[in-house]
Parts: sequence; structure tokens; C-alpha cells
Amino acid sequence: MALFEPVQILVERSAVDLPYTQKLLRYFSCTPVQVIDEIHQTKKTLHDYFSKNVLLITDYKGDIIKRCPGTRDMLCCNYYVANIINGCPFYCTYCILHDYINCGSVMICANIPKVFEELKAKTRDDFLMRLGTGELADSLALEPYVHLNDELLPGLKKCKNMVLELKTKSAFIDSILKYDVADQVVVGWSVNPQCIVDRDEYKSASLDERLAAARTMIEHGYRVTFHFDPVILIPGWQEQYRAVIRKLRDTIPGDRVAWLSIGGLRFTPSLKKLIQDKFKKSNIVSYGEFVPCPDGKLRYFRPTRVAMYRFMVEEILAWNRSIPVYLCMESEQVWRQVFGCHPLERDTLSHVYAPNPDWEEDEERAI
Amino acid sequence: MKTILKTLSIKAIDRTDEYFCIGSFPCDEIVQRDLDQWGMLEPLIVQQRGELYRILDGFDRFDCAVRKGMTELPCAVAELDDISCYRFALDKAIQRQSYDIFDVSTSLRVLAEDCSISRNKIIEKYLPLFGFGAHEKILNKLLLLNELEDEQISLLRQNSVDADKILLLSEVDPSIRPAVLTLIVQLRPGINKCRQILELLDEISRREQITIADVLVDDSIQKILDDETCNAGQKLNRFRDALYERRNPTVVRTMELVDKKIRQLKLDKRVKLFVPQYLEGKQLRLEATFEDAAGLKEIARNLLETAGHTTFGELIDIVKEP
Repeated sequence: MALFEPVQILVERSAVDLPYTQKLLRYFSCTPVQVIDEIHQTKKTLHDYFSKNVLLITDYKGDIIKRCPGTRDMLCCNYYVANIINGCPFYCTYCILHDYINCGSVMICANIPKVFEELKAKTRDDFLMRLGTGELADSLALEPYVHLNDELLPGLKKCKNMVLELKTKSAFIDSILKYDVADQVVVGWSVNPQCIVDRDEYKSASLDERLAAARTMIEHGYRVTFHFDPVILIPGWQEQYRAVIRKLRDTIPGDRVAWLSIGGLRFTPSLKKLIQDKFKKSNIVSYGEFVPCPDGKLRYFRPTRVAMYRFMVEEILAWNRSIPVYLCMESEQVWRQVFGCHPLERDTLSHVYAPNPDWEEDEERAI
Repeated sequence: MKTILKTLSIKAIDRTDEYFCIGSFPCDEIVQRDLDQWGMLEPLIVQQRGELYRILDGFDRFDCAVRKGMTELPCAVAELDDISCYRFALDKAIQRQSYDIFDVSTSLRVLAEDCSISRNKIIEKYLPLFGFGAHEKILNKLLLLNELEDEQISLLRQNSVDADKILLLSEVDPSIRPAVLTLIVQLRPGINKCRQILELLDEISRREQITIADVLVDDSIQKILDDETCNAGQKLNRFRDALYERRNPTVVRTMELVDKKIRQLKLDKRVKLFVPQYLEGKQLRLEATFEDAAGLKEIARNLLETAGHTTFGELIDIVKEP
């Protein structure tokens, strides 16, 4: 069964003539198409009726590339996100998309030239932009169906001082290997013990498939990234995660890892309710002790979280000390407890956490 | 609706057939007094079923007539099929608002199964008539109530348990429903506490890989529930705290240690010391209440002393690195 088989395509009138729209309509030539005036009005009515089976094609008018919104009182890693695709065919129990994207369908911004215009305006010589397409989507899960890389990757050569991270739980790398973009693209894999993949990451590639794909990318001269996010404190988690890190060590040369993040399981109270209602067999919210944090999310109690991070960092650095390891959405207090310092004070990370000078100028202007 | 007026013998009316009996029909004093004073002015509405007739509207008047000793009653015999009759009876019940959540649940099941009315139509047309939002989830929850046993429904009715808690109960696994029902009736939690308790029970049972019933028969829990010196509210709070502690032992232990250290500081009564909620954050906060400069100076002197106290250092250490 195909991972994504839309039963209907809705195209915003202003997007009909865009070249990428026309390609998408050819890729899904058997799917009924309806042209609509305002896609955002339609999205509101789709929720219960169409679920994930509708493909929306839009020419998005707002900013496609944005600063990662981060979260209150947590340190920001200066990441940029390009939300070209919204929606994911995988079904991870803990995924924030269940809560954030009310409309269960997949939306694609077909006005790709706008992405490059924004890139040109937002990149600068004194700041290496790390840009990802995996915030509101899995960067590669839909690739066999929508061929977005054919639109994005050839244009990257003209973009200076930026790295595009394609973050995924799939093994769909073929479309990247067609292009020579190893200097500007890193492929990132979210990793978890296979028992979590089986139980809580429905339809995604197995851990071994992900690592094999990473290995292939490295063999083609690419750097890769890994994301232990979310780390879930299942019974025997230390052994489980240690085994994953050892597997990484045995498969991936540490010096080809561009960066690696760790984040504990976290969720909003509404996502918790969703997980409990939708995924009755999932036990992830029952393990560990969660407390409300200043940003409104529930996280593992700080002592547990710190112990978890220390364990993970120790294991990862035992694999290779030069891997830039960072914590995702964590407070300075936790950073200091885990690493003994602020990320700017860590040699391997200072370039990541140094803010974009544009933002400082923006903030000065705001004052 | 086409009807034929007839005077029927009371024996021809099958009162036991309650298919169209939606809601309650108390034989109340006003109906009885009206009947005594004026006689049966409004005919019962009935449907013929073989030799007998079943009531669509007028259950209360029928009962009062029997009590008065009447042997014949004026009736309007409706010439309608079962589905139309049911919808008529339903309209009457809705007008009278004489139904509870269980009647709604039964009616919805009849509409869906016997009358073959589509789910969408039930959601859009009937749920709002009963005062519910037009959502599929609500329909599902209401239909689940049909799974409750008669004894459980009686207990919930007798104790006037709120509709929102009844709906919550319908979602609970049938095997633990009797235990949860007892808790709801005995401890009378509000809807939020009820949800919190069910959530804690669910998480404990999943983590410890035991049933919720096993959690509830635990000695320490039973001791709380059987404690006759406590009223329902006190029992409820102790019960909830015990579950929270079992679910979150490290959090409770750490926060108790923080409280203990604060108590050991024996702070000036005019001063309150706050640590960050669940130790997420590093800044402690002080609140001082005073009337004049002398009061402030005294508080400041006491605080200076507190700051040098070993216990204060220990408290800071816990907040920094619990």
C-alpha cells in the first residue's frame, strides 16, 4: 500500500499555473482535482472529513522561510525552517503535528521561486544559515510522490552560506543522490530504539533502514545529522539507547556527523490528551514523571531529564568527542547542569549558537 | 398525523410496552388533581399493535387514570409506522424536557438502529435538540452509555451524578466500571478531579503493568477509602494525593524535601519564600508584608540571618541541582 494516496487534490486558483503545480498534477494524474479560491478557508472545513487523504496545493503568500520559533525560556539553536510541505504520512504517536496542524491533509507550497527569493534575502556572509524543511513535515517521506528535491536542490548552488538539512524517518534518499549538493545538504535522521519505532513511529523506516541510508549518504560524500528526539524513558531505556548509539558508532564515522541533537519527550497538555485518546496502546506518557514547564509543555522532571541527557551525552561523546551535540528546547539551567557551561562556551557549538547578526539588528530596531 | 378517536378499555392498552416511553413520566399531583377535577380532557395518543395498543404520549395520564380507578380512556389512535411514531414520541419528550442522559442514549440508539437514521443526520439534527453539540465524538460517547448495566444506571440516577461524569464513565473499560462508579458515587469528585483521577489510575496501571482494579484494592488506597473519620471531600483529596504520589514518586519526594527545608528556615511570618514551580527555573522569590520602615528593617535583619543559615544553602543547592 502506498504511503500517500490522496483521494482529492485541491488547488488554490492562484497556484494553478505554477510549474510545480502542473508537475504535481501530472504525478497524481488519476486523482480528482478541484480548483478553489481560498485554501485557508477550505482547510478549516477539512478536518473530520478528509483526514490525510487530501493534497492541498497553494502559492503561499506569507514567509515560507522563518526562524524556528523556539520556545519560551529555552535556548535557541538559531535554526531556520522552510515550511514548504505541511503534514506527514507517518503516524508517530508523540508528534506535535497532531496538535499543531488542525487540518489532517498535506499542504504543499508550489511557489518554489519564492523560497529562493527569501533565501537570497535572508542569508548573509557572516552567518551560516542552517535551514530545515522538517519542522511541519518529514523532509523526505513524500519524496517518491511529490519529487520536491527536483525543485529545490538544483537551485541551491546559487545560495551562499547556508546548509539545508533534510530531516526524516524514511530511507528515501535516491532523489538527493541525483544531484551534486554534498556541500550544501545534510540529511538528518531521527533515531530511536527499534522497539519505539515499532510501537510509536507507525509507517516509518526501521532503525536499520535509516542507518543504512545514512551510510549511503556518507559514501556519497555527504555529512549527516542525527536527532535523538524524543528520548523516551521506557523501561530499560539506558540499555536500549546505548545499543542505538553503539549501532551508530559501528555504522557511521563520527567525523561525518554535522550535528546531533537530544531532546526529551515533551508535549502540550492537549497533545497528551490526543495521545491518550488516539493511541490507546501507546504507553509513552505513562513512563517517567512529567511536570509543567514555563513554556506550557510537560517535560520529564528536571533531575530525571538531566540524568537522561548526561547519560546520552556521555555515550555519544564516547563514540566521538568532536560531534557537536546540543539539547533541543532546553533551558540554560539544564545546559549548565549537563555540559557545565552555556552552549556558546562549547567549542563545537559556539558557531551554532551565535545568533544571526540580523536578529540583533532587528532587536535593536525594535528597542 | 392521521388519528382515529376511540374510547378504549384500559385493559386494551399495554402499559408494559415502553418502546415509545422516552424520559420519565411521574404520576404527579397536578396531573392527578386535573384528572380528578375535570376528567381526561386530552386523549392519550396510542398505536395499535395486534390486539393491544401501546402508548406514544400520555404515560403519566394513564397511570393517574388507573390510580383513579377509570376503566375506559379516550384515545387517539395514530395511523403511523413505528419510525414516525418514535419520532413523534421523541418530539414530545424533547418539548417536555423530561428526559435524562440515559433516555437520550437509548433514543439515539433507537434512531440509529431501529429507525435507520444516518449518523450524520443524528449528529446534526438530534444532538442539538437534546442540548448537545453536533459532534461525532459526543454521539459516540452517548451511544456507549447503552453498554452500562441497569444496576449501574439506577445507581447513577439515584445519586444524581452529573451528565459529564456519566459520559466519562462510559469511556472507562467495562471491567473497572463498577469500581470507578463506586468512587464517583462515594467521593463525588468534580469533573476535573474525576478526569485527573482516571488519568492517574490509567498511567499507574500501564507503567506498573497491573490492572486499575489492582491499584484500587491496594491496602493504602483502601485505608483511605474506608476511613470513616473523613468526609467525602477529605477522602477525595487524600485519594488523589496518594495516586499522584504513586505516579510521581520523585517529584513528590523532592518537593516535600524543599517544603521541609523551607519550614526548617523558620522564616519570619511576614515573609513568604517561593521556589520555581517544580524547580523549572533557578530564581527563588520572596514576598514580604510590612507596615512601616521599622517592620521592613526587622524583616531585612531576619532575612540576613536566614541567608547565612546552612539550611538555606541546602535549599539553594536542591533548587540548583535537585
